[in-house]
Amino acid sequence: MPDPIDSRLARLADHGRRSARLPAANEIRQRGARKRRQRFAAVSATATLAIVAGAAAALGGVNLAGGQRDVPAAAPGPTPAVTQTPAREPTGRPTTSRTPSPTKSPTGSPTGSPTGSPTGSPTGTPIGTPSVTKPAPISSPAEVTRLPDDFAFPDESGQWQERLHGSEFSVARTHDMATEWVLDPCNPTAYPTDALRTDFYEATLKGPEYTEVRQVAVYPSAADAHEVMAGFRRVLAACAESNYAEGFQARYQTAELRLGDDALATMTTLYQDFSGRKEPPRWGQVLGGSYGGVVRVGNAVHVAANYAEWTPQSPVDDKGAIAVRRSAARTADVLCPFNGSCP
Amino acid sequence: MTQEEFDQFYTACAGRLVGHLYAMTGDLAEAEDVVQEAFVKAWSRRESLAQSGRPEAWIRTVAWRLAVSRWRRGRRALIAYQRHGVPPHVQAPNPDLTVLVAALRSLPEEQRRAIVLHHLVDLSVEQVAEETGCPTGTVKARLARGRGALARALADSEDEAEREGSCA
Repeated sequence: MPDPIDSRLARLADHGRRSARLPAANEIRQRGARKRRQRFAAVSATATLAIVAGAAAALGGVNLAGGQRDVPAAAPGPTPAVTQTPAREPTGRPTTSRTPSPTKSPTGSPTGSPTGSPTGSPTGTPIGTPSVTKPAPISSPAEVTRLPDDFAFPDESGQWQERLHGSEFSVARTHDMATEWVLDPCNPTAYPTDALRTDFYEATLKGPEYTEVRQVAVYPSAADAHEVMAGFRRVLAACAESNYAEGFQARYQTAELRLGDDALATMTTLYQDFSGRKEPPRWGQVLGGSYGGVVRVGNAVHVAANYAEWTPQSPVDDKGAIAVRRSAARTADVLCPFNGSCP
Repeated sequence: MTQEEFDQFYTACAGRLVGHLYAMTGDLAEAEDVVQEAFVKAWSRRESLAQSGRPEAWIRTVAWRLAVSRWRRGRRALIAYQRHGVPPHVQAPNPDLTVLVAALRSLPEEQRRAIVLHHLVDLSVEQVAEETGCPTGTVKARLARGRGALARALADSEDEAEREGSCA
């Protein structure tokens, strides 16, 4: 004899099923598609490009939404102390080269070993020898402080062209020296070393629910660029977990790469967790993610970042991570004049 | 999940899920609304849905969370009314089901959910534990307490009905 609870519940549910007023599937899909676009717009406006970050902490704290957070103390570096992001020319390329007066370190001896090097247990298998312990010599073969006038990222003439063909993708470009790094884990993250830039270029491929950003900045010396890399690592360690005002959280992970003179891979997971528990985001909570590749070539620093509604697992082994790393490698090759490694 | 697969999934499962949520919430309009919203969310996050491997459980869980969230915000029926207007006439449940709804509503929400998942959706205790994110011991306790409370509530209702009948 069936449990009366079972049969009564079954009759109740059947009444609900038969009485249910439900819209057609296409209406549900339309609402879902609208929600998806809205969510993507909200996320991408602020955190699409939040990957990992920068040099601000080199000389102080990073500004967080809730106040100031201390980051690991910077090792003394050759760069001048800059405590605030100074005013810069709002647009355009610099008209004159800076006089860098670089304080070059002896070849092979890194100036100011990065005390903020990746903490927080980088995930994934490091590729090659960790460059933290044996960074490439911090020197430039010559004072090449400008990008070539016709500089373009290899992706612009390569795979981006395929995406642009007959699609909703578009490309935006800027040489605005005040453009912020896409690496923004501290939301916002200030980068005092931006003031040292002698040249900058950014290209962005944007499409429905997918964005790729490529940035390159040139500094007066390789030591300055090294300091930028050290700052990225410090800020990443300090702001591995961030909360956004829009109601989602971001988690950052890194892995060291052997690429150019110094490189790291980054991975960001954007998620919503209302439980308040400090646990890795689970499926259903993840809104999307991004992969980044950061590489220094002499006195140039390149950042590549790709964002989509991924559920990232590894900053090294995921397909998205591999794609962005390959992109960073292609750009590193064309930046060879900055460390004199051109064949 | 492709468009066609989603449409098939929706057509096959939406009504049944409304039934489940109706039993969980005791409110048909609320059940319709949260199930719709869960399907909207599912299409907007179809990668997560596909990744879950159990899309019906995904929808049910999301719909339940939406319902709980609305109760807690105290705006239970408002959204449903805003979206649908005043509900049209639907066939009323028979008195027996009305008693059951009242009895279900008297239970704490997590007991109600466990009972529906176990007795209506036919999930094992372990599966209920997985779907609700609770240890099996907690699920067993909720089922035992919930069944007991439900039996008492139903018995009280029947006694009351008998008394009313005898007075008539």
